[in-house]
Amino acid sequence: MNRVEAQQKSVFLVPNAEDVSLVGGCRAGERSSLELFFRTHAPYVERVVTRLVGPTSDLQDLVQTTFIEAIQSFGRYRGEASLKTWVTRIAVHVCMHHLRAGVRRPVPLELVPVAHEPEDPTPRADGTLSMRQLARRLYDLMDGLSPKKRVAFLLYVVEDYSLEEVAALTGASRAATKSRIWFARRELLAAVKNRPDLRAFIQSLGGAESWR
Amino acid sequence: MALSCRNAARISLATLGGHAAEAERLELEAHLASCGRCGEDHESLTWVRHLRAYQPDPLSSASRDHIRRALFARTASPATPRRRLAWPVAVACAGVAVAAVVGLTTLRRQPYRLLGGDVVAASANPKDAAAAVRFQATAGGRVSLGMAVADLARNTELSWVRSKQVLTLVHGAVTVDVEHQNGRHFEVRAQGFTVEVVGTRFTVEATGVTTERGVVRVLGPDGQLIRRLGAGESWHQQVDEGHQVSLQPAIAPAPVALRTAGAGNLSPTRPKDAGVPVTARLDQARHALATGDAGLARRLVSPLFRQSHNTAVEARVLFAESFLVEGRYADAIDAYRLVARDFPRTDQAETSLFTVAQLQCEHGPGPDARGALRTYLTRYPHGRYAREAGDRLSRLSSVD
Repeated sequence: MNRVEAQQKSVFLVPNAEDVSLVGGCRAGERSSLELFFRTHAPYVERVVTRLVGPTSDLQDLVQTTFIEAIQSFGRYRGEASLKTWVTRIAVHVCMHHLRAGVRRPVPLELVPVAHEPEDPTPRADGTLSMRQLARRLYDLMDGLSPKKRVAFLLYVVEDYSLEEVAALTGASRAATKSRIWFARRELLAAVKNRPDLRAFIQSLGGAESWR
Repeated sequence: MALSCRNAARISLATLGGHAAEAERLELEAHLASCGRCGEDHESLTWVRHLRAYQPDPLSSASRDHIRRALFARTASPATPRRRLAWPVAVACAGVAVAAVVGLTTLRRQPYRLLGGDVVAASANPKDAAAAVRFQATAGGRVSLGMAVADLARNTELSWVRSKQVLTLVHGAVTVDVEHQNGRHFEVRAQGFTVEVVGTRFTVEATGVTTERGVVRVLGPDGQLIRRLGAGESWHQQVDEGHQVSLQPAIAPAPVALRTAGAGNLSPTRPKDAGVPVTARLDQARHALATGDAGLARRLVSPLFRQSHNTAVEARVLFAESFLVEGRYADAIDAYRLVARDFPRTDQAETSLFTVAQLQCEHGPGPDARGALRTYLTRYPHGRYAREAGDRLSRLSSVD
């Protein structure tokens, strides 16, 4: 067992009895087991995909691809991790493939600034809309990162996975994961510094005070 | 101990992800309060925390139903190991290999080409490079054999193995013109000896070999070097006192044919037998030169190179003249130089040396021409052509 595999094994949660029986049913092609598997993990998969890829109209396709990959791979599920971790790992790889393929993320119409929408980045009273606006801008910033760095950074900083867990989910070593996160931070800092408008927008969010 | 900026950056990153301990956070705050640059960097990345609060719209129930139906339309795959890319890669490699083989087979040069004459080729397996190809010519002809062109004399039979680049003379005679290629080996085997060449033109008969250009090595049946032949030199297995070429007893006699001038212009002349007296042979060679059949002339005189002194020098002069008839001046110069070198006390030597100088002058007033004239004048300061040579040299020097 190499070092990466050892790290992955150490952080993967041991599957519980429910996972074992669910996988058995899914392997046998039982409709009820497949239904349960989908209903249990679909919300989380949706969230991970959206966090990694950003606002996209491909969300449905990516989620569907993740579950199709999972269903076709039940034969290779060895029970060394929880079903959630296992399907998350599949989702991460689907997202990386999507990002690596260079598929441009179409911006939903409601996020496109219209003529009467002010360019003033000040958050509006409608908090939801301002979060969408923020998300669009921040993911535009993320588009400058390579898929590996982007995914590692988002999993670590936004999804709160530890270094070891990020390494396991992305199939990389701990050192490589740490390096990717570090360089992602450096590139993002440089990008923000080169965008005074974005910098002003971020400062207007008052985030600096909120975390301290 | 104060926190370094690098460690501050690491803890800043951990803090953004919620991985930092309380003690680390306090340490970081203290550092950021005193280090403006780190504070600025940290502030620039605080927006990341807003992403944590971002809750994207969940998929609609219709979208989830669509996914669900798509999943149920598929059944779980059996628990077999994934086949990865092994077989597609293998199929692709096989396709590329087949295409390469077809391409090479199509584009590859033919193992031989019949260029003229009545040459007939026969092979058990023409596509097999290791299989021998037999060439037979009744009236003579020409064959291209890759890096060599072989002129078959009348009643000649050859065997050619392309993979080994070996041409075997079964009977008759063949003149081979081999193009020099680095690292490429070519040899002609006859009964009792082998001619190994790199790049040259030479004629092989059952009795011996004559080199027209370049250098060949004559090897015995045991692979030992018998003789190294330069341009204009020849070697024959045995010459008896009756001025006739004959084979050694151990070697089965092969019909000797004389090479004709060219494949497309085969001479109807009856090949001369080796038993023709020397004087008659020389006369026949002169006649052949007069009629422009330089190849026949060379074939006639080459067996006489090992004869008596007077006969040999006459044969060598005729040999050199044959190149002049063909317009092959470089070969002619080499052959005349050999006459001057090997027969220095003869009139032919002086004539040959002056002929070399004349030929060099015809090729231009370069250093070769002046050098050839000086060589003649040095060797024959009062010779028959000394005055003319001096005048030419003066003219060439004045031009410079």
